[in-house]
Order: sequence, then C-alpha cells, then structure tokens
Amino acid sequence: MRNPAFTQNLATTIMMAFLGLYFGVSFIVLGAAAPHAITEMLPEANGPLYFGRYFLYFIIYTFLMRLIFQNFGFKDLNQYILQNIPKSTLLHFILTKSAFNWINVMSALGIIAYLISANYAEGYNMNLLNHGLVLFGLIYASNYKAFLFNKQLSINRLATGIIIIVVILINYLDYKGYIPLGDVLEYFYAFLVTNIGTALLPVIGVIGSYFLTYKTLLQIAYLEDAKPSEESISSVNIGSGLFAKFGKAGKMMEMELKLILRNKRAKNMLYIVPLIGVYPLIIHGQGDQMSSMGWMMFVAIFCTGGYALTYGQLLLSWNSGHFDLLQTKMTSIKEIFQAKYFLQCILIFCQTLPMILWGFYKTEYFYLMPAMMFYNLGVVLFLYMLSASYNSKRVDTNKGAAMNYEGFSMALFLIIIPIMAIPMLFYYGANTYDQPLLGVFLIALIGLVGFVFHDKLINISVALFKKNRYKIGAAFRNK
Amino acid sequence: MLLEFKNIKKSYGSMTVLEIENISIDKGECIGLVGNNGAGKTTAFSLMLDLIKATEGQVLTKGYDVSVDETWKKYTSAFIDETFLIDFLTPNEYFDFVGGLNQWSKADTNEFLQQFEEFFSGEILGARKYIRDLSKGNQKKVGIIAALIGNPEIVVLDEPFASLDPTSQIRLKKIITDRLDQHTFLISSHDLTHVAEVSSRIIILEKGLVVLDNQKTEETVARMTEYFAV
Repeated sequence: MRNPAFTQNLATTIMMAFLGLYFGVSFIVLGAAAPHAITEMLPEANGPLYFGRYFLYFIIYTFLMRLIFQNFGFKDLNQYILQNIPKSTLLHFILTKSAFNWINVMSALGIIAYLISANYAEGYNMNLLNHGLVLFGLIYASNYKAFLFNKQLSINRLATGIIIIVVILINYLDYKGYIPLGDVLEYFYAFLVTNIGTALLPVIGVIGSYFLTYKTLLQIAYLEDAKPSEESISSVNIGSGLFAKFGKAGKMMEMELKLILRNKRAKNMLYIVPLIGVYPLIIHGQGDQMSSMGWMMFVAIFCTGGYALTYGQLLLSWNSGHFDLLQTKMTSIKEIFQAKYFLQCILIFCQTLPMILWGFYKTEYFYLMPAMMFYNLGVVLFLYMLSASYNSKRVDTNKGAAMNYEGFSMALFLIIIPIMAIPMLFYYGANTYDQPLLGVFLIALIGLVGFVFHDKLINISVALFKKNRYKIGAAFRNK
Repeated sequence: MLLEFKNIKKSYGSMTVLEIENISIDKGECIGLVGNNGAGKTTAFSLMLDLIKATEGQVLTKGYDVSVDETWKKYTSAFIDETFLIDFLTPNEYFDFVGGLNQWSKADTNEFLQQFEEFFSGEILGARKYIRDLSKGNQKKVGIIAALIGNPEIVVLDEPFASLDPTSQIRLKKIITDRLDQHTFLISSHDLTHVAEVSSRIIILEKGLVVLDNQKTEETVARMTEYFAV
C-alpha cells in the first residue's frame, strides 16, 4: 500500500519548488534590474559603488539571519560520526554542503544576473573580475564566519541577542543620519574593488574562515558535544501558578511553553517578535498611501497576533512527537484544544498590551489594536483550529526555521484566504458607505462573539478532529 | 469483564495484519502477548488505545467501545514507544506532567517515585538532562514508570524488557509482580523467559492470528517454548 504521507510530501515538494522558483526568479530580476534602476534613479551616483554599498547592508542582514535561522548541519554530523568515514571527510561535506544553502544560492543567482547586466549597462565601466570576486567572496566569507559565530555563541544566547540589538541600533542611527554607515560601507567596497590584490581579500577571507571553522569543528566533533551540558537546561517556572488554575489544560500549557523555549524551530519564531513590534514604523515610513485605515487594520492584526499566529498555525503538529501520549493520557481530546486555545489567548493578550502604545504614534491604533486582538481571539484562532483538525503533519521541533516548511499542508495555505477576506469584506463593505469605523467595529464584534462562545467553537473543532484523528495520528507517527 | 477484543480485524488494503475473534480479559490478569516480528502485538495495543482504526469489530473496556467513549483513558495507561515520551522535558518534569494529568500533586508524584529509586539506579530522578539525551534504557525506564503513575487499572507495556540491562530486567519483573494486585497488565515481549515469569496468561500471536491463549501452566510454557523453537 502506498504510504499516505507520500501525497502530502509530494504536495510540499511541489510547493517548495514553486517557492524556490519564485525566489530564484526574484533575485535574478533584482540583480539584472539593479544597474538600470540605479542609473535611472541616481544618474549622478557611481552605480557599481552604490550597488556595493547596499550589497554590504545585505551581507550584514543576511549574517544575522544566518546566525538565527541557518541550519549548520551539525545533526548530520551526529548521524554519520560512527560510520566508517573519516571525520575530515564528514566536516568537509558539511562545510561544502552549506555553500548550497538557500541564502547562498539565491545570492549567487542575483550576483551573476547583476554582473551580466552591468556588463551591458551604460556607465558601468567596471572590472567584472574584481567585482565578481568581491561579491562572491563576501557572501561565502559571511557563510563560514556564521559557522564560527554559531559554534561559539550557541553557549550564550545573550551574546546573539546583544549582537542583533547593536546592529539594529547602528542601522537606526544610520537611517536617522547620525552616523554615516552607508558612506563607510561604500568606501570599504570601493577599496576592495580597487585592484585584483584587494579583490582577492574576501576570497582569502573565505579560505581562511573555511579552514578555521574546519579546525574548530575537528576539535569538537565528538558525539558528547552534540548533547547539552547540564547548565543548558532552561527552567521554566514562569506562570506555573497561573497555569495551575487551568487544571489539566494548565499542565499542558506549561509543557507547551517549555516546547517553545527548548526547541529550535519554535524558539526561532520568538526572534520574529521584536520585528513584528516595529511593523507600524516600517509601514508608515513608506508614505501616506500605507497609512489608510485598511492598511492599519492589517498591521494591527499582525501586531497583536503575530507570534501566536505564526506559532499557532502548526497547532497540533508541534506535539506530533508525543501525540500518542496526549491522545491516551488527556482524559478527552477537548482538553488538548482548550489548552492550545488558552495559551494562544495569553500570548495574543501579552503581545497586544505593548502594541497599544503605537496609539501615541498614530491615534487610530488605540482602538485598532484591541479591536483586531478580538478578531484574532475569536476568528483567526478558530480557523487555525479547524485547519489543524482537518489535516496536520509531523514537525521535527529540533530542526531550524529557515526554509523549513515541515508541518505545512495545503489546508493551512487555504485557510489564509478567509483570514484575510473576512476583515476586507467588512471593512471595504462599510467603507463604501463612508463608515470605515463601522467596518472595524463589526470585525471586532465578530471576534468578540467568537471569543465569548469559544467553548462551542472548540467543540466544532474537536468533532472535526475526531473524524480525522486516525489520519492525523498516522501522519504524526510517519517520520 | 475488564477488556474485550470482539471480532476485531485490522487490514491495510488487501493485507490483514490482525484478526482476533474474541479475547476477554478479566481484572487482575497479567497477559503476556508473544509473537515474532509482524505478529500483530503492537497493532493489538494500538487498537486498544484507539490510536488506529479497526477495519471491523470493537475493543471494549468495561463494556464501552474505546473508539466511541473516552472514559477508558481515566483508568488505562500505556508505554508503547518514544511517542509516549516528551523528549524536551527532564525526567522529573515529565513525571510531574503525567502526575498532573492524573490530578496528582507534585508531592504525590515525588513520593510515588521514591519506591523506584533502585530501578532508576540513581540516573533518572533529579537528572539535569532532557529525556532525549538519556540512554535508550533510561528512556524506557522513564516511560514504564510514568505508565504506572495514577495507579491505572489497565497498564499496557510494549516490549518493556528490550534495551534494559539484565539487572534492570530483573528489577522490572519484581516491580510488575509486586503490583499485580493493583493493575491488569498487558505485556508484549520477544523474550519468552521474562513473559513466562510475570504473566498469568499467555497469548501467542502469529501473522495476526491467535494460535494459543491459555492460563500459564508448566504445560503452556512448554508449548510456547516448543512453538518458537526452530
């Protein structure tokens, strides 16, 4: 009999292929269009150097992404370390494999498209060899530097956090014009492309960081290094008193919090929270057209439910590794859903409170944030519950988040349509009668009704889950 | 009658992996389920725990169909494999979680666990390690003892002796025999000696069919040994 996971995996593979194609084409178009766009928008600027300035910004941001999301393949090492393969071969395999990760491949496509396009663009009299060496050299030096940082900083999450905050701060000061970071980067890039000797510096950086990483890994590539030290056990006692009030559901909520803090993918999602927090600043920085009530409403949905919703999408899948225990130990399936719902509510509420402060920046947020919080609590959470009850897939919580679509199903993508359509329908419906506030009120009201009748809505999700429980259970057991 | 497999059949496509006309289990029995790989032992347990759907028939506990009524969860506990462990918790956190689901306080759970300190060999209680970082043997110990938390009437253990060192196997046999007055055990194993020692009744499965179902006597043990002899 054909494994039922086959069709699900096929759908995910097709989707991943489409995403890969989409990003690949996007990077090629961006790279190819860059010389022409720079010439048109900034005719007086030195095109190649201006490109170099922003390429270095790109290196900085992607370096942070690498630190947070990149899968460094150390787990692969553990799988093969007992095989009859020399350790050096294994390490070269891991390091070489990383050269083909999605950041590097997409960047390489963009760079090639840029170099070809620049060769034919007017006013781009640049040495292609020098620029090519520098651009590729910087990408790959950054790749192997991230390896080293990751290995050293993995013992100290605080250090990673500090680096991210410092970079964001420097970029903010640069954006405000207090420090000339852009000029420094452009000057640095100009220095690197001066001649073949300087252009080889990033290449030397690649070779140097590759072998330094290799030597570091060689010293620590023992099975016991893959296991955490006793000190790395994080204790979670926050809120245990609060959870106790929820009985068995509370026990499960406490366990779920530990799941978030102790598993890579769920924890990676936490890093997104500060970015979600500054979303209004990014949107309103784009100009007045983004400051309409309609846009602000979507910003508020995202700001109040961002983490709960990105995490909540995979509702039951997070527990796929121990789902048989929950199915047989929890007195009823409903308790599992209740625990999930209450925890999401707490997360949404906690995220909403600081977001209301954006009201001091744009007054509308004073009422938009609480209104959309109710939409999240009463509508969005239930749409995710229904989706999870219909079809859920296994998630390995220890894998990283970068380009990791494990757990995603077609149902999960389709559910986004009503999530976006419901507020649009009510808001734009009311707006045609010049009553945008009525639209916001109606959306909040639907959310409030959903929240008040959450028990009934949970019952609907549970009934749907019971119909599909064998299929979902089999998918969770299928490694 | 505590538990009954009634005309149960499990098929995948055209392949039938389990077909049991009737097995009735009374309170206080200790069932040893033996069979070679693919005999249907784990399938039988999974049907009993409503983890997979029966193609035909029912599993009843106290007269209720386990796939319809969830009451059985209040008095049934199991350790089948690692999907019954929460690997990102420490052993103590895991025991506390399971105790909490059985409405035991932390103190109740800790007090209960003390009697198994010898079985744990000082490597589990208080260990500052996640379950995923324990050895296979210690993971199994955690799962087995967690299945006893809450004093369930029915305890289902799939291959409990596998991965355990000889001393721990002996200690586990003592734990089971000491608790026969508290639980009805269903234990599967490839190890005939262990099953013969702890069980009050032996069921042999072969390619999904029951080929022997008898109370344990010297004759039953001899037949079982003979059946599996090459």
